[in-house]
Amino acid sequence: MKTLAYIVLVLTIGLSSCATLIADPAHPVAVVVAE
Amino acid sequence: MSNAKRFGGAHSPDNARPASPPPPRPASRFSGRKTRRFSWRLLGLYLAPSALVLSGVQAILSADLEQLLWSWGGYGALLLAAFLTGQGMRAAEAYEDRIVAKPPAFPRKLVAAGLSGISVAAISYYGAELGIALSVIYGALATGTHVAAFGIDPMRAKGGAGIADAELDRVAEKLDQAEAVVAETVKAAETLKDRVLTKRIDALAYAARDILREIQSDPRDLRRARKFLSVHLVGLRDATIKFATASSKGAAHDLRGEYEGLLKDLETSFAKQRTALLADDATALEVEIEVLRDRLKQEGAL
Repeated sequence: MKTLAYIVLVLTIGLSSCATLIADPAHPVAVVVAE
Repeated sequence: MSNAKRFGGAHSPDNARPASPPPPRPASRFSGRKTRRFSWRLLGLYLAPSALVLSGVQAILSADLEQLLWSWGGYGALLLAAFLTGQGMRAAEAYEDRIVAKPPAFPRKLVAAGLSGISVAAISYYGAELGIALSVIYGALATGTHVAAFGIDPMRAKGGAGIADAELDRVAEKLDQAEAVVAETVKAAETLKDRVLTKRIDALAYAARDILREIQSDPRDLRRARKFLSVHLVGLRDATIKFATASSKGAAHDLRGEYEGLLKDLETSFAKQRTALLADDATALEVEIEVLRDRLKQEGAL
């Protein structure tokens, strides 16, 4: 249970941080995702 | 008449056992010392928001001050949350190790959980532009999973049943001070560069920690161990620091004999102190058994 909660926590922090890059339409990663 | 000598040693059944248990000796110089554990979980918390650094760099390149503020601000807040989580884990371990302990004054893990939630919500809203509802959900998810993964800080004082709070505070404070004095002594001994003396001081530190554990298990012992805490322990630390300072200046040769004499006296004194505390526990138990038997007799059970 603790391990599952930890994985969800790290994924939440990690993905919300990564999403900041993708949110910018000019970013190369966002361009690739858009295509 | 035979010249044969009967076989037997100190541990043979016919030989009488010593009246009091011998003082414990350290198995190694690391005995009784605390270890600092490396935590992969904590490392994960530090690494998870790394993408925000890139986001900040991108903000500098595109001269976007607002993006720079929330990305590096959020990164800083999440690093602070990870740091507080680590501190909270150490405080909780220290609390678990103690028989008598107060809860940590500052609830680090709870603050870390709250900070993680607020940071994730802010990053999701400003950075990922997810909308307020989804951002709040992510923030709540981060807080909830942080609490589930790392737990919350200890909230209640433990040990010391039947002792007033003020007295418990005093015992915990005295024990903290004594632990610090022992740690300073060991640190000073490490600068001596003399294996024989360092080993003797390590053994004394081990014996001192053993006495402190004995006091923790029965805080009423604090009154009886006052001299040990305020005179013997502090004296050992001060003498060791002075001897180490003199040794570093090359002036310790004349003082070595006196210092070794002091160590010998303290070894005897520490052993006596421990025996006295154990004997007191035994006396208290005898009295308790006596009282209980009297009561059983009065009630006709015996």
